[in-house]
Amino acid sequence: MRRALALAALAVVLGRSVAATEPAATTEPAAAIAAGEDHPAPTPPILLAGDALERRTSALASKLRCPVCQGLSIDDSPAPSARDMRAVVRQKLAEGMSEEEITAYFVSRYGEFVLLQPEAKGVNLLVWLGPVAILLGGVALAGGFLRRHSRVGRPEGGAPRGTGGTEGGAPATVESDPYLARARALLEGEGKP
Amino acid sequence: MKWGYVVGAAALGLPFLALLASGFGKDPSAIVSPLPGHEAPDFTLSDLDGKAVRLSELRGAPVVINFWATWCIPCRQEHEVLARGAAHHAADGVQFLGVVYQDEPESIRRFLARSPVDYPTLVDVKGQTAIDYGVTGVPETFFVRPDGVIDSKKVGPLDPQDLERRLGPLLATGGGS
Repeated sequence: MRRALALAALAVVLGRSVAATEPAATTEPAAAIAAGEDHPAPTPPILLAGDALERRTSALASKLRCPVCQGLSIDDSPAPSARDMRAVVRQKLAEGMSEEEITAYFVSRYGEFVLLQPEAKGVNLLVWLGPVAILLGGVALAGGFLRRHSRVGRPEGGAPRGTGGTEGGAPATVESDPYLARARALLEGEGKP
Repeated sequence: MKWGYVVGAAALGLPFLALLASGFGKDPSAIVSPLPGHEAPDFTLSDLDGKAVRLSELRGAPVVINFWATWCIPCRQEHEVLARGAAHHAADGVQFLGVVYQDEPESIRRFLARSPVDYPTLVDVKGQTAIDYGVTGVPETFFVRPDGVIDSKKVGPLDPQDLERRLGPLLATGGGS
């Protein structure tokens, strides 16, 4: 039962982390289709202009980090250098470069730092898998602890407290406990006078 | 039983501590540039008088490209270091280039009238060259070998020792002189 619950929780977490990585892959084709609806299949450079170009620029710019800001994309930042970078994105899109090529260009100049969402590969995978591993470890630890606790707790907690040690119904271990024996002796000594 | 916990905690905790140690050991604001070791992106920029300079035409000589701006205080301190360095290494054939970033021609003119330099001061009007070089702020300085490959990048103002240290490998690879 507990295991089933843990597995279900894990499935949810995994599902969510996969879903989180997916948009990066899916928005590109979707945007490409939206931009060139009347062009079927892989036609060479669709020259973008107007609203379509602005939409594509904004979509790509929102994935690139503004290097002079604190965690802002160049789409969100009003900084002059972010504005210049947006202009470069717009110009390269208008020239027919793909989103991958433009992203690769920025990474080759600024490093992976420029990506607001780093790629899920290499050491970066730690960010994706680490929390799941820690959660699994925690579940295993808690499960082990609970199992051990319930096994040990029953014989000790059941007999001596419930029925009372004075009636002699307790098992041998309780009888031989020196602390308990002393306590009993003291109690009896108190009751006599 | 108890030892199991200790070993388990160590197995989990030590890699985590190592991760933290390596992370905190670095300057979090320092971004490693992917450019050193690669060919310097070419550019053609003009100075205030409209005289154009093309980087690839300087091939064969070590080039120092300094991105700066008149509104940047550390750049002003660095300006003197570069002016002296350029004068000192003129005989070695080292070409210095100043690229002014996000600035107004008027303030550049005023600044250079007060503290002139003997090397070209080029204006990066649209910031395209700064983006090509992955410039995140000013001052940033690139040291280009005679074969056109970037040797190193300095973020922040150069002091004379640092300038000499970074010029060393450029001169050793066989200068144009």
